[in-house]
Amino acid sequence: MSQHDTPIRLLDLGTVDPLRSQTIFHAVGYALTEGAPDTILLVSPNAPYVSIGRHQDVDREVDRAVCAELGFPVIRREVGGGAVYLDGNQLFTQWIFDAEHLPATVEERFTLYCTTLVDAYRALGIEAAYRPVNDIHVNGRKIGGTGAARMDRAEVVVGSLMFDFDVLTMSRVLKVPSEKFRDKVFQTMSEYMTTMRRELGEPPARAVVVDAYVAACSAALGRSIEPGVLRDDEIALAERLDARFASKEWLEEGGGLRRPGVKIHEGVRVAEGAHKAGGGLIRCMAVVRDDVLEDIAFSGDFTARPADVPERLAEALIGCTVMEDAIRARIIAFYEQGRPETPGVTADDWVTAVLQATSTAVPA
Amino acid sequence: MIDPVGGERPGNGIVHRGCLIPLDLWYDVSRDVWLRPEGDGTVSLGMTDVAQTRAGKVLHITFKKVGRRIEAGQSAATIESAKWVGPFPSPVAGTVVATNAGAFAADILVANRDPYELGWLLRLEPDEWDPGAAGLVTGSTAVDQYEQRIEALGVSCIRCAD
Repeated sequence: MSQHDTPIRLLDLGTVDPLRSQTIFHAVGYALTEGAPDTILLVSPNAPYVSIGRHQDVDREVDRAVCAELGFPVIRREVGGGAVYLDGNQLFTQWIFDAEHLPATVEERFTLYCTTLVDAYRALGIEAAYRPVNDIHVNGRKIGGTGAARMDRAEVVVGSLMFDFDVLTMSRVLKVPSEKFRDKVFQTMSEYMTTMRRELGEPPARAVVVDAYVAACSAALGRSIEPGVLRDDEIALAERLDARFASKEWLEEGGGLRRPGVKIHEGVRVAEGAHKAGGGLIRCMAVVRDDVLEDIAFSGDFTARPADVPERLAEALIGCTVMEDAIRARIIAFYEQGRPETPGVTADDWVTAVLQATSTAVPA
Repeated sequence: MIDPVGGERPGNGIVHRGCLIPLDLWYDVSRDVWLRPEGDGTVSLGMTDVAQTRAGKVLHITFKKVGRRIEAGQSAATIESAKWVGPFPSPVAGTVVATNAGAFAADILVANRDPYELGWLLRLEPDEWDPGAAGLVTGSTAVDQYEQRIEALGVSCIRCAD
């Protein structure tokens, strides 16, 4: 990263409609020409919506019927990551910088960017900490999310300051395999996500949060930050991007990035898998925290005697490391101790079902 | 598997701050792209060691379709890694004649593991192959320029798939 002492332009746009809250940072990114100022853009949407990652398949990730019923637009962004529910309780903090003015690697850019969010939260009395590569945690709970993209000569890093978060609505808009899975996603998000409201009782006023954030950015970047306005060419480009981002073609563009399960934060995910055993289908739903089974449940059309075998087997697996040998050892011990009758379903079938649910890496 | 210390190309590449720079390839140093004429009029393109280090572990990649024309500087593929999305710019104009989608489907980290061989991205039929006019460099000139760039960026290469 070369040294720069030119001021950073601060654009505080207040609230804008959902579409513009996405297109504006893309427009500023693509409009950045050599010598143009770097920009920190602050904005909130004036209505709720759902944003999906650049390579996600909208129909696999989002329950579009629920979104339509709730009146939520679904908007694909040119930034990576997963589907997320966004609303006016989040202040988007978007950096649009000449690539030469930020660190060269994605990881280093996230470190710098997340550090400013952490410092702002700490100035507000929240014990936030950076968890590489791009998470911010408060006592093990994730606060906000981040993403990044290259747009011509601009490197863009985006994220948010979380005043509050509607976990129930987020769990409603995601496409999940079952209502039971949805409940599990809701419970896990409730447990592992936090907000300024949760940490402080009442979130600070927006102006207080903005001041803390701008001060943190100025200190971390070693540059002055001066209020500015959008240029005409940026507004014109945003208008063009509005049309593209609102189009069915862009939303339904072939995805391909499979996201088996829902990642709650870097260390916690909810996942489901199924295995067809001779004696019937075994479905397995699991919550994995730092590669340990924190919760697990079995269902399916297999026969088991006594009838509580699936529940007791699940209990026996809680706390197990997600490794084939460790899982097999616990299941074999369960069979040896309890002598359950599971016609057509062997210990190996349970192992396979658990691995189906847990072994697939869930992308960021 | 390439040994990042330079074992894979003895005598045919240098390693600077962990970044392998093969001497026999052409480079667009500012775009972090390597090119190799294949002898049949086509040119292979890929991410340099610096590029794969800067992006981190690849999570997803989409290629421009075979038959598609690409202008110089235009993106020929879109790469997603750890929540970052970026283009893979082609330094030369031409038509896509092949992509390495199969290798990435089999191992999405192939460019992180082996950026110069198994992890190539696309093959183009260039409108013309005039590396000098396209601002490309090779050999000791490429090494000199890349060493300066690596220092300016402050990058140390890691094969982050390991």
